[in-house]
Amino acid sequence: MRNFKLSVDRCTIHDSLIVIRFKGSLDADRVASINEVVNGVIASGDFFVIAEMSDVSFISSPAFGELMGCKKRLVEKGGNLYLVGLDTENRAKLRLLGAEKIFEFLPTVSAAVRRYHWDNEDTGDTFRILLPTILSYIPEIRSFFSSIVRQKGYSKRDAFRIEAIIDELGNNAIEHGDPGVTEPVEIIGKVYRYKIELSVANRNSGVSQANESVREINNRLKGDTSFNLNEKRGRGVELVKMLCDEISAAAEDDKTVIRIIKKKEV
Amino acid sequence: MENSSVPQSVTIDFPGDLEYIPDVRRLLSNLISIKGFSRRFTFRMEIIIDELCSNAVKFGRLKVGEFVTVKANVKNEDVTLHVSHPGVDSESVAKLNNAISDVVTEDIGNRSIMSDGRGIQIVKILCDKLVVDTSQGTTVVAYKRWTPNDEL
Repeated sequence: MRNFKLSVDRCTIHDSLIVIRFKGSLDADRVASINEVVNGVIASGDFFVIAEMSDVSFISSPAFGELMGCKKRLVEKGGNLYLVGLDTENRAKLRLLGAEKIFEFLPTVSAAVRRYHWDNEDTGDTFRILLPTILSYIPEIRSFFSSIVRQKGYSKRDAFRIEAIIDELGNNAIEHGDPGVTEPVEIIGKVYRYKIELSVANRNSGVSQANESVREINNRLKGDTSFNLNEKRGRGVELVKMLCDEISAAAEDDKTVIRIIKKKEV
Repeated sequence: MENSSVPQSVTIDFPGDLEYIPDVRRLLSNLISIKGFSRRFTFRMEIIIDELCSNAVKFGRLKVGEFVTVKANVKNEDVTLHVSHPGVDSESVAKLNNAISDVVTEDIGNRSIMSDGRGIQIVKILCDKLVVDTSQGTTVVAYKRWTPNDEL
């Protein structure tokens, strides 16, 4: 009989998950052991399980079938089973069995915990970029965020709108920021399952200038400043207002911060 | 190449997930390219970024809410890259240091190979200086200077 071991531990990164570490060869005669261990986890009231398989040399069809059954039982209880750390050979074999339709192959335990968060707690994924006042950087930044939101399941239209918003706010931040400071522009994007929060901040040469900028932006947002198509400036904020669901401006010390929320199109 | 003796740094914080690394490396290499570096130089930087970020995600064991931070200081003829994560795992830091100082860690069969750290070896070949700093989290600093060999 080929070498086989398994151990069950609570996940050290997030205690809502259980990690079952498989080691060796998952031959057909291991089905009962897999079944027993997962049933034990379910009986103890834990329904989110990570199957850590980086030390697995072989997965037989019956063992894989058992893993599918375990996933089904966990999903019925509101949980899930995440397959983690499979090597290239095992991944390729499982793909031939159509496993991709049932399991997502995740590289690490951390990735499984992050997937659990994304699916169940919706804490959002945050990206923060600090950049100098170089206008030619903005197209790259907007493409970056666009690619990220597409990856997270947003539509092409949402991604395009986010690009337009970042382009406008980023260019404004650079044009009106103080080029004398290092990393004067800060863009933070927080991507949730159904909305994106974005903040774009620049640093002014003083607190009073930041307050003045915010006053001007707020006047435009409230419509106190009449919007004139012949004006060379100021159309960008109007455009952003149309493309997002919420927008606000605030002065924070010497920073001017614009925050927007864009909900996912359904 | 753009004439700027003042370092122009770009910092990116991203969640510890491998799926984000292609976007991060593409963004940074494009930003480096904008500063006038050749395709070969930026391609090499892209490999360095990819490898160091992958290591930070794989060995950083980041919790939700923690980030990998990449800071690129771009000067006239060189780029310094700082890739950090909050934790310090002494085992992986030791492996990293061994890989940097050319210590072969494992023999398999009759082949003498590095059990880990092949990626770091590539990074070492591609850059001019590679240092690990654990004074605040784990930071790997890679310095690459432009040479005529990087021109394409």
